[in-house]
Amino acid sequence: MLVAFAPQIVCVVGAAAAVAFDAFERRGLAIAAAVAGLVAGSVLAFAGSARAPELTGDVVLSGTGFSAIVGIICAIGALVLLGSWRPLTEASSGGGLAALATVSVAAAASIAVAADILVLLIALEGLALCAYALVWSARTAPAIEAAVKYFVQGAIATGFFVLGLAILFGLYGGSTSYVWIRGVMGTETGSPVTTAFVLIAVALAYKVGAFPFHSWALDAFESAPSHFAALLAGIPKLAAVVAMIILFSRSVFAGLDTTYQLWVFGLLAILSMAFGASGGLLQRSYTRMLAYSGVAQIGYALVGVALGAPAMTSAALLVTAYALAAAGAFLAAGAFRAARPGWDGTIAALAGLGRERPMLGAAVTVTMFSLIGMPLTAGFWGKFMVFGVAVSAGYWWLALFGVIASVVSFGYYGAVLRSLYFETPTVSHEPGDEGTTDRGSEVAIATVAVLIVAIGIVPLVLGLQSVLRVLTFA
Amino acid sequence: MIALELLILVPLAGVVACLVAGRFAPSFARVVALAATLGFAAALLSLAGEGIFTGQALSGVRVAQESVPFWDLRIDGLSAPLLVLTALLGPVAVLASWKVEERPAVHHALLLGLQAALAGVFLAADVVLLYVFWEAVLIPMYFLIGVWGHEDRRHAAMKFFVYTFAGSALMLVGILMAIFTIGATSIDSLVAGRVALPDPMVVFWLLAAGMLVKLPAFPLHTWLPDAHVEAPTAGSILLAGALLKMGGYGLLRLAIPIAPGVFAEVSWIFAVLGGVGIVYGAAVALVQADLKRLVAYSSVAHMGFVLLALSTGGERGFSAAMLVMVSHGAIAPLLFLLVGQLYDRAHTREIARFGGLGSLTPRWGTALTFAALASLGLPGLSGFPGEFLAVIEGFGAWSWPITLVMPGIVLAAAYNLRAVREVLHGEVAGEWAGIRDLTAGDLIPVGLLVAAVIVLGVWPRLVLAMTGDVFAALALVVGTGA
Repeated sequence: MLVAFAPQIVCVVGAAAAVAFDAFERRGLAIAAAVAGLVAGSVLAFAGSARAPELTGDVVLSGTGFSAIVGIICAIGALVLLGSWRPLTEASSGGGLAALATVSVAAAASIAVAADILVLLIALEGLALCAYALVWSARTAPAIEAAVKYFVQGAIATGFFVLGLAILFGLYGGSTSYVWIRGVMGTETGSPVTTAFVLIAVALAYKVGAFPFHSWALDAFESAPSHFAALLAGIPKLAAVVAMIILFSRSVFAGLDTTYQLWVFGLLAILSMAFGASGGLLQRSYTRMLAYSGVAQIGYALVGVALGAPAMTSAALLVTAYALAAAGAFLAAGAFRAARPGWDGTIAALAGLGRERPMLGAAVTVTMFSLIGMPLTAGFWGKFMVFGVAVSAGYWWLALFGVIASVVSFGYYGAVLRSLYFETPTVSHEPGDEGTTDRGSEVAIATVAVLIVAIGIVPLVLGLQSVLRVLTFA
Repeated sequence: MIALELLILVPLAGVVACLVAGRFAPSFARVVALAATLGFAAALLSLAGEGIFTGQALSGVRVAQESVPFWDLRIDGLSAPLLVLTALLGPVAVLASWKVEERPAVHHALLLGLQAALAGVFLAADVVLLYVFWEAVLIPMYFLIGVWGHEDRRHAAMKFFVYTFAGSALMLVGILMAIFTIGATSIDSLVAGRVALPDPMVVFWLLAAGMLVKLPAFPLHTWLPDAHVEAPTAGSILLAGALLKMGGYGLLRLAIPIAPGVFAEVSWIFAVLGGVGIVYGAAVALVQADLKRLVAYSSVAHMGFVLLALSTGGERGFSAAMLVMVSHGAIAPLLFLLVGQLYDRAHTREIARFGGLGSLTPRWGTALTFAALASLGLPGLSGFPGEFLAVIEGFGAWSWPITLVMPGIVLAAAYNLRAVREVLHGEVAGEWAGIRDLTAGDLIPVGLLVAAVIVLGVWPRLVLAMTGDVFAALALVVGTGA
């Protein structure tokens, strides 16, 4: 079992080393140790993805896409931490925060491959506890409030989850592993099963911030330090979407009539897309806009969850693309602040920044186009595949709703581009108020942009299989 | 033989070269951009030996024969004329924006990117690749309008993007329905397997939605006047000359072949939309106070002829549509070029403020008169054959109701001649006494377009020779309604 968890363990070892270095005020070394742990975890996981799928001790899945998802999560985590180099070295307990971030990534990686409800719960809670602290670490009044709100709502979600778990354990006790429960449950679809399904679905909808369980996410992602929002906006969604499809369509609840999944998650998807897209239009703050748009994005992903097992690869691709782009977009907030120290956080105050910082502007442009779902970016293929599965299953109206939400999303993502390039700066720079360049975050954002474009273009020439091969869960 | 990929790669290489050259000197970037567009034209011309100008189909080199579902290029009679148009407009656009002062390297790089994307649209033999390029066109155009446009450019850029993106999003759902029910992505396989479509009516309208917005058909045209008026001259040239042609091309390439039965059933709607567009576009053009807006609305009218011609569903009707598209692809850019040159000198486009420019700027005046005559459909110039054939064919298909578009033809003469009269004739407005006429450099792009208008006017068979076989086959399919 230890071997199957090796990537996560390596990450945690990196985090432990980071804590040790931090104790001696060696922040640079601490962050390097955390990053090294994540990189090693990612390499280990990708190496494991060459193996056939395997269920170890009825607790954890590994091999093929399951390992690849762990690898992707660790890699994005490493990239974000590298991009947070400057703020972390400047923070008073930067090494400790880096360790916390690393543990949260390891926990997210465990969520994605859990095959036991208790393991899933522990991983979810591990991630949440780190996340509360990371949001809080901004130490501003709004951030502390957001962290508390996040904590309270997270506790409620946990309550739902534990209730669902209790029902399942009470009915099919003996073990909490997916295989066991599925085996004992058989074809039973009585009301206790559906009640457990709804309770756990609601708990996970909370965790991914789907409408109407989203309100913590808006405050948390707006007021958290932007480099931690970069970590928390995408990676947990990526992990949770994979976990949801495993749980609801491939194991425990696979015996239910698929209309349950379709209605519950289809409804959540449509509500999330509608709310996130329309709410995003009203935002002035860059990070709050991203938080709202994240609700819409989880809506697209839930279309995949609603369609279940056939959409697993497609949904994984979609959330991977989102996690990458969200990491870039939130990191950009830090880079903007470095470039314009007086930035008030609004989209309008980014006026003309794209012309002043061509590389940063170009990279942000790529992430915005990917979030919209424009061709030539990773975001396009995610939507293409998920909506394609929806259409082929006969639910073309679900795809239609998705593309309409994408068009609306141009209203707010496009507003960023408009500000970056079309507007001229209104505030004149005062001497001494010259911005600086946050080299680390700009390099990280540029890397994200290159990856997004590569995933966008390579399938055109080599076929979509070149990308989907990595995310095959069989 | 050179690979068709070059038609996309040459302008893309130009994008990079242009950005690099711009780091040394802006003027260097202009030369590089011009060279890249000429390289594109040369690459296309070098394919003449393969017979692409006589309607031969030509496929690209596939990277790996079986495992490549998307990358698949082809020229045939339908795409060849539009590629020639793209090749012609490339140098014209670069020359028209020779004097752009604001970051010329990026401006020209975007023009080249736009040309690459347009070439991709016309070359794609795979529906996913087609869609990718279709959307890719929006990106450079959005920045061209938004950064280099006029006063209200931000609003116009957003409106342009949202409208056309909304259209193509619907188109994407139609494409997904087609490829996931038929199980192929190449356009040929989709057309061959079209009987498997469970709901061709829905698929057709989803596809057509994207194309009718692009065309643009009345009442989906409202993005066009704003985008045209606010776009920089080179942007307007490519927008009117090549981008709008994507709409007609998409209908002929995908929507009609994949659901010919549905098209035969609903073609009367196309006729109505086309007829309304002709009259409405011309009537609105007549009352414009802004010269550029007048030209923009004239595009709506001309595109109405395309729809009307398509609606007949016959070989000659399709040919007429293609003739109108190619002709408009030369005339509208000429008009936008001339308006742009006037604006560069006068910094206004308000028709009422001009007068007597014919005597002050005789070369510009002659060119404008020529363009106006071409636009109103003077026999011997390129506007005539297509629109004449469209009306004749329209009458054959729909009989007397076609007479309702006649006011549109009269109005076309009225708005074009009004522009000529008010701007060129009459009393010389004092404020323009010192205005400069066109220089030799200005005359090069004008000359290119004038030549195209004359050649197409006297020799429309040039286009018909390319399209003949394709349209004969398509008309047969629509006629049998299968």
